[in-house]
Amino acid sequence: MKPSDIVVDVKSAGYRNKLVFENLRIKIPSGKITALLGPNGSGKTTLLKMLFRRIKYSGKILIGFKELAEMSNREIARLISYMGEIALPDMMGLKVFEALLISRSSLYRGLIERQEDIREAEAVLRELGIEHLSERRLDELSSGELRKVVLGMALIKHPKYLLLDEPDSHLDMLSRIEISRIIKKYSGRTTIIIATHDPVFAVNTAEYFVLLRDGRVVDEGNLERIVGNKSIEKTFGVKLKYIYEDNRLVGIIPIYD
Amino acid sequence: MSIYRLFKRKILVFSTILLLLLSALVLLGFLFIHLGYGSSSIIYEYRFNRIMAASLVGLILGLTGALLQSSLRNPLVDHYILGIGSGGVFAVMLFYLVSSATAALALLTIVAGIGGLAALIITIMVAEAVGGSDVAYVLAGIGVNSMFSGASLLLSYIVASKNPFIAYALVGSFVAVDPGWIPLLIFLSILSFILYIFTAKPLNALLIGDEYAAQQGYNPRVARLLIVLLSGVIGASVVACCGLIGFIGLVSPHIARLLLGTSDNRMVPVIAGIVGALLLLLSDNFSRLILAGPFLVSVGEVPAGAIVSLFGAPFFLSIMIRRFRGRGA
Repeated sequence: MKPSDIVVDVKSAGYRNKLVFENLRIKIPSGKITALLGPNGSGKTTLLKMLFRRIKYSGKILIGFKELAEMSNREIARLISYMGEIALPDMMGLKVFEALLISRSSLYRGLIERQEDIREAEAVLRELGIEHLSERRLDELSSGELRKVVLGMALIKHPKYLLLDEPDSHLDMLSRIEISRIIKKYSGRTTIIIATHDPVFAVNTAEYFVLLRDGRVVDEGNLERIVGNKSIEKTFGVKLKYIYEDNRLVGIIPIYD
Repeated sequence: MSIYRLFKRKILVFSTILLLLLSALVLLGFLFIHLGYGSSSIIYEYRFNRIMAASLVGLILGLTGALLQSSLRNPLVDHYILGIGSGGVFAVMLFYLVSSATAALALLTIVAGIGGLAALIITIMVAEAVGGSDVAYVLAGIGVNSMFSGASLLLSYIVASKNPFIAYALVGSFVAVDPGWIPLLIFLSILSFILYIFTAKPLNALLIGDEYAAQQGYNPRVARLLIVLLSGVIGASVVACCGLIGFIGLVSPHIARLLLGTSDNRMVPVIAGIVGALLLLLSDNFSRLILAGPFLVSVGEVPAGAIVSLFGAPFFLSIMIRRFRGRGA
């Protein structure tokens, strides 16, 4: 076990009237991209939210040998970035560049950002190739553009742990590929966890897989293992056909019968 | 880097321009009274207090209005719409009814704050019970507002024998300005400014979303409730002085956002406060001049609150139309 791995050993977790997890044990390797793969309602989002204490749990979660329950809010805010859907109609006209600066606000004291924060915002815009969006309002962006901005808002803190909740949802094919490419750039520097229900996006983006169904781990491991065990089939309850190109898995097609 | 205007520069430019406008207006206020009635030191003192009171109330209402809008993520609300002001007025009336003596202003302010808080809690509970959408808040506010202002109107007839100026509380006016208002209003302004400093960053996170705020280290529900209640209570307290003044808290943040071209909560509340001061001072000057002063011979004046509503209400309607046109709702 590496010192910055995430170790989840939770007895129970969930919402007020709905238990999602019982006796959940997962180890997420550091510096890699891990995909939480599972159908809707399998507990992916709940698991991500547990990792920054948004969901109550009993048991232990270790983030790099540190007990999550003992960390301060500020420490969690600096260490972890979570990005899911963001509420748009209520933004009252926030611009992309401002949203990026706001995302760095946990890194400085006082109200005024530093030159460094502005440089970081510009760097993120460059890196994601969205410099032209900088002065646009968030509520005027297309969903593909918005996904990239949201990803930028998560990346700008240089978090050690990046939690992405369905970064591929509502996107066309090209945008999915672009998002996947951006995420892969950060592998090695950052421990990234992606929650998704698209196996194609998962296998083309992630290096490690945790397959969830009804709050239980069906299988975890690298690509060879989960394909060999036919775990994706078990997780989703469908028959699949795998497509390889140059010995690389490039596509997964569900069989309709 | 140079294309991005920095926080510091932007806010400096706008506050300077607006403060210059404000001082011009203050000067104008003095000038008008000089033209109208000649110069007496009593009149000058009265004018000074009135100008100060109108600006400070405008500042408080504008600033806390911006905080209310951001924390509820609802551009359609202010103290008046949510019924907070009416709750404050009702509490003041009730206090006059049960107490025989003329009360100290500080005590009245606390009473008004409690009344506003009660009204706000009712509005929030009703609005959240029906889903908590922006329209739900407006509708719940209308209900609470009507309830309290109706009751206040009733009480005002009974209380009038104890305080002849009490009817002004219903519409909001600076006619009965008292030197005692000024330190109290300065105190409330400082309170609202402190609230702004501590809430600017969490409000920005809340603007993006609850999950996002939680991840930034803020408890979204606690933060939102705290900011709404505090800014509501501060806004309600001013009715103890000048009565119920609507729409300043609604209009000023919109003008501030328009001027700044952003809804960044580090800038909007400050500029909204200055805009509010300007608007209310302008309305008060206008309210004096429309019937009295050098233009007409008749005696008396229109309450500033009436002037503000005259301009504020159509503005509110236009915001609503713009907001819902795109939604098809």
